[in-house]
This record gives sequence, C-alpha cells and structure tokens, in this order.
Amino acid sequence: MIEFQHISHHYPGKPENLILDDISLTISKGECVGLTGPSGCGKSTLAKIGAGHVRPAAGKVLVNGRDLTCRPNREVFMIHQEPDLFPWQKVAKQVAFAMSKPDNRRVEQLLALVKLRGFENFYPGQLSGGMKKRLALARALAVDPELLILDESFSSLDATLKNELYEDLRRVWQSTGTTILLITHQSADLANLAHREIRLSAAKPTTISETINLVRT
Amino acid sequence: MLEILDLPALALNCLFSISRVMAGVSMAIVIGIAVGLSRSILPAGLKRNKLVKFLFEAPKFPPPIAWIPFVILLCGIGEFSAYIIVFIGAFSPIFTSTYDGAESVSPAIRDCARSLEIKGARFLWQIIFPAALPQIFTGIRVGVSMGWMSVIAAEMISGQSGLGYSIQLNRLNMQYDLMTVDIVMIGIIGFLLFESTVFLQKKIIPWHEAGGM
Ligand SMILES: Nc1ncnc2c1ncn2[C@@H]1O[C@H](COP(=O)(O)OP(=O)(O)OP(=O)(O)O)[C@@H](O)[C@H]1O
Ligand SMILES: [Mg+2]
Repeated sequence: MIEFQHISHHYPGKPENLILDDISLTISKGECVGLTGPSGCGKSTLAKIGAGHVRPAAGKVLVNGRDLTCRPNREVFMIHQEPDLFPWQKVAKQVAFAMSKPDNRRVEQLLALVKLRGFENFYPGQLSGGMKKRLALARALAVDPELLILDESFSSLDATLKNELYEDLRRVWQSTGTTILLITHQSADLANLAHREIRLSAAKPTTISETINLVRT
Repeated sequence: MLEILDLPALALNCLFSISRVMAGVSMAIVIGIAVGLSRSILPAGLKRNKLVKFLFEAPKFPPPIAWIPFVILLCGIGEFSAYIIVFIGAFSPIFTSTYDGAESVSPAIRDCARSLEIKGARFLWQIIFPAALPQIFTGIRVGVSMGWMSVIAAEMISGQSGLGYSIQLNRLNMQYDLMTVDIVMIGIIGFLLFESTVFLQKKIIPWHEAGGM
C-alpha cells in the first residue's frame, strides 16, 4: 500500500507559488489508479515526490507504512516523461541491470512480455519510439516495485501507437499484477485499465478535484 | 633537392614525436577524466563558489608553450618534460569536456539511477561516466590535436629528437625543403592521430553512433 499524506509543494524559493495543496491519496496493492489533470498542474511533480526525487514542502510518502519521503528507492519506480533509458546499455543489459539479482530467464520473460525478443543486442538509439516505451516498461517491471508510476509514458506518440501500447500495458498489468499509478492528461486513456481516476484541479494551487470510480470491462 | 632526405632519420623523428604525444595524452586522459568527474561531485555550494571556479578555469589559459621554461626548470630537458608539455596541452579540453558532460547528464537519467539505488562510486562509474563519454571523446579529440601541436613546440625549443627538433635543425642548416617535409609530416600524422580517436570512439561508444537515446 502506498500513501501520499497531505502533500503540499512549491519549488524552492517560491513559497507564494504553491503548486500542490494538501494532496492525499492511497493506492492499494494491485490497483491501477489514473491521475489526470491539465498541463502544468503538477502531475509530474507529484510523481517525483512519490518516487522520492523531490522533497515536498509538506507531507509524507509511505510505502507499506515506511516513510520514504525524499528517499529514492526500488519500492516506487517511475518511468519519466523525459527519456530515462541508459543509452549505453543494450536492451537485455538494460533490463538485467535494473534487477536486484540479475536473472537471465526473467530478462527473457520480460522481453517477451513487451514483445522485444530478438532485440536483446540493440541499443535504445536503435529502437523505434514505441519500442523504447516498451523497453522502459520491461525495465520497470524488472525492478519489481511496490508502485510503478508511468508519467505520460505514451502521450507523445500518435493515436494508433498509443492505443496499442495501452493495450500492451493492460496485458502486462493483467499478467504481473503490478500496482500502477498512470498519469495522463486524457481521461479516455484510462478506459478498461484504471480502477479509478483521480482528477487534479485546473485552478491553482492544485488539489484533487474529484475521484471517479471507473467501470472496468 | 630532396636527394639528401634521410628516410630512416625522418621515420625515427616521427616515432619520437608520436610516442611523446601518446604518453602525454594518455596521462591527460586518465587525469583529465578523474579531475573532471571529481569536480562534478563537489557539493553544489563549492561548485558555485567563484574561487573554486577560478582555480579550475584560470590555469588553462596560459598556452603549453608558455609553460616550457618552467617545465625545463623543474624537470630538465628530457622525455618526461616533453610528456608534461603534451599533458598541459591535452589536459584542459579533456578535463573541461568531462566536467561539462557529467554536469549535463539529464535529471531523468540521474533520478532513474537513484531509484535503482545506485550510489557513490558506482553512480559515478556506471552512470555519470558512460553518460558523459560522448562529450569526453569530443575533449579527447581536441586534446590529441592540442597535444600534437604542443609536442612539436616543445621539441623546437628543447628537443634532442622529434619532428619539431628536426624543423629547427633544418632551419639552422637552411634546408627549407627538408623543413617542408617535416611540416607535411606533422600535418599527415596530426590527421591520422585525429582519425584514430574517431575510430576509437566508434569502437568504445557504438551506442552514440546509434543515436544515443
Ligand atoms: N524544477 C522546477 N523548478 C521550478 N518549477 C518547476 C520545476 N518543475 C516544474 N515546475 C513547475 O511546476 C508546475 C507543475 O509542473 P509539472 O511538470 O509537475 O506539471 P505536469 O502536470 O506534469 O504538466 P504536463 O502535463 O505538461 O507534464 C509548473 O508550473 C512548472 O512550471
Ligand atoms: Mg508532466
């Protein structure tokens, strides 16, 4: 279980410019939660706070009751909105590197899961945009985190490819049961995937404007 | 005119100059990368400190040739002095590009490595160093060229051998045709040295050719 407790945030030196205001959110094991909101509302900031990369001005992040605020850890792993693959590592190495104990069988399984078998010896620079996203997903699964945050992972791709990747994610999620926080600016992306949608407000500072339970088919 | 061209002597002078540039540049690569990476892990306060900045940046302005008298004073006339002169020429670009490369590693890559709980020396060696390698190679390419120019200058002033020394000797003997041969050789070897760093780069960081990300 992952808890965001009363998270408030402003970037250093700008206390008057509050970005997140008292955001509380609990994600249970195995859940897939969507987080939506307009551009600039602070979705990525909240994700980085969750993963321990940014220290919130106030509030805590608890992972199974353990306070991991501002402590990067393997329990909460995020796929960044910006490219975060290591360009110098080949596909298979990239996935193995992320494991706590390298396990070739598991690397093969994960690559098969994201349809990257046969590309083991490719560098990220030699993959297509969609393949890079799938590699990032395989690497994140290799970490085996308590919570996987996907920050607009597929938003930059064209509609067809995006839908294909959400389909892949759904399949992956069904077979691994990883707890997911899925960030996107389009509620439509969450269909058939998320249990609920947390909507952040457009007004500043950002709060949770509503939580919508999604019917899953 | 060129009938007095002494091919074995020319080859020997080339080899002397090349071995000096190799030795000096190797030192500059090892030390330049080490100092560049070390500077990148200084605490943020020290990095911004103007005095620290001055101490790192100011020494690179006096050109290698200006150091020659001091190097001779401290190390005498000999192979080691030549290495030091090459080192002075090659160090700055390698050090600077290493530091710049380390500083420009993207926050997403850093964060990702931290999430994987990669810390300390491992973080430096397995993340920052490889991520900075393309820029480090840019520095090495410039460093090799600088080193090559420096060794010729050093040999002209204090050498007992090498292409720079040969130029001086031929100048004194007014053998301008042989001098021209030396100049041409310096150009050819400089070009080959440069090309071999490009070749090494392709071998060592093939992923960079592949388009990085
Ligand atoms: N490093 C930073 N320093 C200062 N301000 C920042 C920094 N990062 C983000 N911000 C500001 O915080 C606010 C929220 O940014 P954030 O990236 O979290 O938005 P977002 O909801 O992820 O937007 P998008 O949908 O465009 O990705 C923005 O106003 C942005 O300008
Ligand atoms: Mg964002």
